[in-house]
Amino acid sequence: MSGPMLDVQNLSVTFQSDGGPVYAVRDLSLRLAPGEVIGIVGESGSGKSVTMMSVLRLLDTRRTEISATELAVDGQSLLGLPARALQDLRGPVVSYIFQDPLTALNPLLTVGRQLTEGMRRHAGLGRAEARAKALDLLRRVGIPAPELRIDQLPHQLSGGMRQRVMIAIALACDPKLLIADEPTTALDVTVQAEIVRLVQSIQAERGMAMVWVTHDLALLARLADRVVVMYAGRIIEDAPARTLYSSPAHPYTAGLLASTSRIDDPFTEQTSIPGMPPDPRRIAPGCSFAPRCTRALAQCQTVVPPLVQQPDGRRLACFNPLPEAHT
Amino acid sequence: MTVPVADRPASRPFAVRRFFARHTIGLIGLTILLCAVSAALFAPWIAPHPPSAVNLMARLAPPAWVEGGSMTHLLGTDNLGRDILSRVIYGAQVSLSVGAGAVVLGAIIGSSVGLLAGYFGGWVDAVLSFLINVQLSFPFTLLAIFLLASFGGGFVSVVVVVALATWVNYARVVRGQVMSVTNQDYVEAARTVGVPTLRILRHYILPNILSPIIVVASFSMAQAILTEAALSFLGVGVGGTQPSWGMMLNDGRNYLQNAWWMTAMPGIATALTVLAGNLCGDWLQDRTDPRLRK
Amino acid sequence: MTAVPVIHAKGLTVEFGVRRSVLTGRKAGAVQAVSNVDLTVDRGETLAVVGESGCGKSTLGRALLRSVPIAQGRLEFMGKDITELEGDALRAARHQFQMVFQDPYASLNPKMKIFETLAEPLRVHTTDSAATIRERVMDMMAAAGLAPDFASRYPHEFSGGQRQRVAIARAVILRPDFVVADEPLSALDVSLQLQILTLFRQLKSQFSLTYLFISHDLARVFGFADRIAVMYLGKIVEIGTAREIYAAPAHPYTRALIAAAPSPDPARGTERDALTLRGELPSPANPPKGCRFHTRCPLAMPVCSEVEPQMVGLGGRHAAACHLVTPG
Repeated sequence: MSGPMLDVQNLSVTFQSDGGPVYAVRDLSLRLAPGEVIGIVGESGSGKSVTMMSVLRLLDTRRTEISATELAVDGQSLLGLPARALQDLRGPVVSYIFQDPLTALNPLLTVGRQLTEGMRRHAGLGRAEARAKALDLLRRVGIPAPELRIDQLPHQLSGGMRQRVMIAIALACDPKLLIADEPTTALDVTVQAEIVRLVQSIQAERGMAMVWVTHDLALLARLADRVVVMYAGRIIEDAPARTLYSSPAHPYTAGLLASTSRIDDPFTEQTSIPGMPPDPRRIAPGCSFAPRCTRALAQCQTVVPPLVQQPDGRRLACFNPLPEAHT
Repeated sequence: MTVPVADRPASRPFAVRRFFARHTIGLIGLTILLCAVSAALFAPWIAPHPPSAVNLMARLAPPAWVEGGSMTHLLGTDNLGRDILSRVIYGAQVSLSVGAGAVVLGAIIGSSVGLLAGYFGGWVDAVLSFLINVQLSFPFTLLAIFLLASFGGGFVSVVVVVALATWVNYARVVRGQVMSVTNQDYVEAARTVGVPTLRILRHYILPNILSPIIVVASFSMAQAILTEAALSFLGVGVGGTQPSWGMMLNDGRNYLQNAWWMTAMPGIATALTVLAGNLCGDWLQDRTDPRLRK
Repeated sequence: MTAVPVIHAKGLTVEFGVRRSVLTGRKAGAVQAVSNVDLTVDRGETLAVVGESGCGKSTLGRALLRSVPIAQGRLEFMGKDITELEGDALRAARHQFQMVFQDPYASLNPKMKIFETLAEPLRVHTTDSAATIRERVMDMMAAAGLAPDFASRYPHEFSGGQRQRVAIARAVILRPDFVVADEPLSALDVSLQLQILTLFRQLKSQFSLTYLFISHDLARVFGFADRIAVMYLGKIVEIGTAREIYAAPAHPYTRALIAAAPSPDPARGTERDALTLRGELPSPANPPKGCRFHTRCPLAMPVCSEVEPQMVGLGGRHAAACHLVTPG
């Protein structure tokens, strides 16, 4: 058995803002096996995107403090690695797909130019070779008339097309790990369904590991092997997908699941989580979810529940989990 | 990469240092402006001599630190033996009041034009934008000399003419800002509620474009002071017995060879004040433009 | 019920980007964002308008409030023709129909305290004394779940959910007959969406409101709306009660929307994938001939690219515009 594809231990990320420090990620540990697909789900401010962006230090380092005891991709530690070496990992080892393809693409370069840049840099392909491979990729991600599209600029494409181009760019160097950060949030549902199926089939075909970051628990149901739930910068539950959806153990996971709209059962009255997400600037002692939790105990207010491995294969940070979890 | 950070609040000395690091430019600008304003306000108490007191015995005395200078006239005297320091201090009155007057007048004219053009768009915008372009393409100095020559000088005329030079700055900025604010949902929400147009302009648009107007005002203040100096230099300034920096520059013109201080002192005063206005403008712009923050 | 409907629109068309040539007086470059739509909203109901971006649902909502110009058609509000209403008369009528916007970060004036924002409609439309206005604002804030001390604070101090409560309170404070809510949930986190939906429900029963609820989230809307209208490229393609549409979606586009909505159930069927759409949304500036959906429809027939289908009644309040449906 080979080592983990992604290994993050005790990651903390703090931003300096005008209103004081923002604790975006707190003491987060996560491992991802080769070929595994995990979903990271959380609401805005939960730290889900920041976690993934800090892996290759994509955050503005002037105002960010990142600390970790281990941060490794494919067995290679990234701690203390110079920026140039990190650059070399982008593409052949880790690739990103971002939420907004319009800002992630260079508006002044053609699709083909942006697509072949990584291939020529990392794989040392010639111009003609790279172009042929780029056409292949565009065809693979379902872009009609790729011979035409390859010479167009990003603004000439629709939102769905641009996201396909982003996916093609991310796949150009055959990454071992693909990180997709809310890649379908800006898209319509019918387009989203297509993109999800596309990424799924490519993942299955290449066997690469994948992290899909989203706020939509429903989207991950058929996509992820494992789902990691984040709240206020911490992982609060991490479980195999089937386990998580059938018997959520953390009250927040259960609440999130209960308030997610269900197309298969839309008429049943849904229950919502009371209260509001915490301000990441103000850190209360104890469990961050305690003020909104109906199952909170006295100790939840004072002690942060540790993330503990459970017998059923999940990790859970809760002193008073839902009982069904252990049946 | 270190051990994980603990939860800690920002320490106070750090916050203080950050405040100064971030506001240095603004603080320098404000300090200079404050000095100029104090000089103008308290001139009778600060100035060592009356500004127009002629002392032919002490003509063209150099500044104190130059050979032949004396502590009586710190910055030297001019061709009529008037104390240059006192004249620079009194000159601040003219420069700053013309600047302030022109800024207020220019802001009112320019902002109104920009507000109307930006909010109503269509032919209103077309006409007003044409007006702005005409003003921009007209050689201003010629216009100023023509106006002042035909209508006479004096404080009010100079303020009006300098305001004419600067209102375009406001109009252009305000027009663009209004256009973007008008597209905001809260303006549409106000319309949907049925708020009358004038009230929308006053309560919804104006407060939200105030910071760019203030930024433009700082830059325009500098431009106005410079323009006033230029007009005085050309002999079409405020005039009268009240000294102004531009007038002093003009006086010193013929003595550049043997009394450089006659030109240098008012020149430095003008340059510093203009610089201060621009520094404040820069700083305010950084502070208020969200794209430059964070 | 034979009561007068709150909204009755006939042949409603909204055009954008129309430029009239100065020389010839001819129109050019018109995009029909809403094209020949018939719609009735009954008193006390919640009608959801569902569709993807660019389908014209927001424009339709704004047209019903007379916030965008109506190019053709007729619009009646409570039985009165308001198609031609202009100026002060239109402004005075506005207290009867209000709007909640999508982005609560953009829809509140950042320089106005919450109290001022909520008092504004009362100041514009009533002659209430300052004390009465104060009382009504505080009552409304309580009804919207806002703490009294929020009144003296500015929008930037609040989270998205709280701001949306303020925006809803502003729309409801005049007890309007008709409220258009334009995607009021989509800027909010999942855990807050239901809270806001519950607030909409409470206010509806408290003030007997009528809603036009614009959304892209079909799953969310089924349990909330009485009736649902599905829009595609400026046209309503299907309309009916929520249960009629869920039980028997008639238009292929409605079926595709239902199929595409993700479900939080890992075991849920793959058979629905058969109805996934292909291709891209055509440009509204140049809509396809015949049925506007035929370029993406998995069930398209030759007739679909030739003849535009008309709305066909399917029994009850259910109707769809598709050549495949037969009157029921």
